[in-house]
Amino acid sequence: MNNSVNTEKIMSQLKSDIKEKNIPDFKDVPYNKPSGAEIPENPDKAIENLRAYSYIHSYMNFTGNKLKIFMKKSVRKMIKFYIEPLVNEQNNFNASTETALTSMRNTQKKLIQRIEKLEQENKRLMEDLYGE
Amino acid sequence: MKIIQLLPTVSYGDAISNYAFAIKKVIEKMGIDTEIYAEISGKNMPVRNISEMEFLSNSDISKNILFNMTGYNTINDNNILSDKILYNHNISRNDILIYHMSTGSDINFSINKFPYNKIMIYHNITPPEFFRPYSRELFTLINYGYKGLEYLNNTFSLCIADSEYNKTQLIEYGYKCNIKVCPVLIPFRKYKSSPDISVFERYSDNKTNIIFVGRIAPNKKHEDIIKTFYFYKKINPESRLILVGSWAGTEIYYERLKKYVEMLNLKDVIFTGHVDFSEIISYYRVADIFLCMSEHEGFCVPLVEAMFFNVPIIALDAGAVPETLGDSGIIIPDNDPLRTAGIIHEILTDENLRQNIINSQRNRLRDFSYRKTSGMLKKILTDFIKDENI
Repeated sequence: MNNSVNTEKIMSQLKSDIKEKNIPDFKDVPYNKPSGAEIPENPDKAIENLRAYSYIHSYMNFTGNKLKIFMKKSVRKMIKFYIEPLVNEQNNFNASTETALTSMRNTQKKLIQRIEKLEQENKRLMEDLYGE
Repeated sequence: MKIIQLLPTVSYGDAISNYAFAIKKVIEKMGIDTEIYAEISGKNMPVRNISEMEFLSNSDISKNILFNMTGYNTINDNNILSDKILYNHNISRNDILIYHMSTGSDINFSINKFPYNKIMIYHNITPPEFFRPYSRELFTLINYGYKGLEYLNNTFSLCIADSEYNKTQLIEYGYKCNIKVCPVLIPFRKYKSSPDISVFERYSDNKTNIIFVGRIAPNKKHEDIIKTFYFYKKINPESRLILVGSWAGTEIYYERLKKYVEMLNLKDVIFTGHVDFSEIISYYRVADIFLCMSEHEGFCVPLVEAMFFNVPIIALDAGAVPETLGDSGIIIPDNDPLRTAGIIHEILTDENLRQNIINSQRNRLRDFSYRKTSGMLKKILTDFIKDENI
């Protein structure tokens, strides 16, 4: 048995002490994913991932003290005319890529089915012909 | 007879490299000739380069694997080495090769060319999924490691696993050879050397120091340590979190952690980066709690180090951690940062509890004493030499 700790008392105290409701979670922290971080082992999963990340936006929440937030907001306003058209263009490109890849995947699935069918047919014909 | 140790990388401060040097000393004490070979080594490290054994360093198989990560069923290896090649490398039938397996390397696909007595020490390989979002290179390297692990499952006469957890994984990967469990050999004498004074003085104030030692890597879940510290800081504002370890190769994860600290508006979180051994000693000496939220460990040497420095340990029940801790420390069943913060507070305010934990850790530490683990290793090697008629 490991050492045991009675945390009941401290837990109830902590819960009443900590008033914050929205404590940021690590998964909400944005970061620069390296290109090719998602290796498509399963093509359907890869397309699903692509779909999840295909729409990007230029708006982000800022953190820091009031002055830092003010400065960051000012910079955002100043470069808005330049960034937003670029982001829209990128989103259009991403949407087209997603459509193209989905279409290619559907075609691939159909071709796989067709090849399987033809192979079976071929096997059956060989059996008929040579009795193997 | 000689015993050759082979590992992909040897560097200062690396647990596996330290282990290899400790093994070297044990073998020398057995009166057997021994050498360490590595593919990459730090400056002035007393090791030889694997290029001296070119029949191991050149592998067409590894090239095929790298370019075809989807499988290697079609690969046929020619393992037959002429006597002339072996003679040129001064290898005899009585020689033993010990291979340290911990990562992806071309060596994994050529080690079977060593014709005689092969032993593998398995240190575990971190699942690649942890690295997928942060580093394509590491993800690929680790995947490559698992391919190598599977590829080698019929290669060795004996495997030595750092823990039962590692042994189980070897069995899962189809290893049918004799597998012995022997904890990592830690020469504790060097931990008695002088700490770095500047680090010691900087953090020897009235603040409570919570530490974790280990490279900044996604499997070690530094974010969970940070979140726990966030809650603990609400109870004890006079506290700091020190995360000791290098972020080389995981810079994106490190940047994300820093952003998280910023989002939580959390002060007193210190990322030390790579530190010297004397600094590590200082960090342990100023530590009040060792908090480990790692989700994957094959052994976890820092837990044993924390035991040595009498730092109470709180660790998540994952990987080989419960096995390494045994009945000592505090094992938490899941990641509940609020509850873990409560446990930290309880330990630091209840002197009896703190002392009980330290006592339990000191008892556990005896199982990892140099004398005991080196004795275990010596017996494993002696039995192997006897069983194989070497």
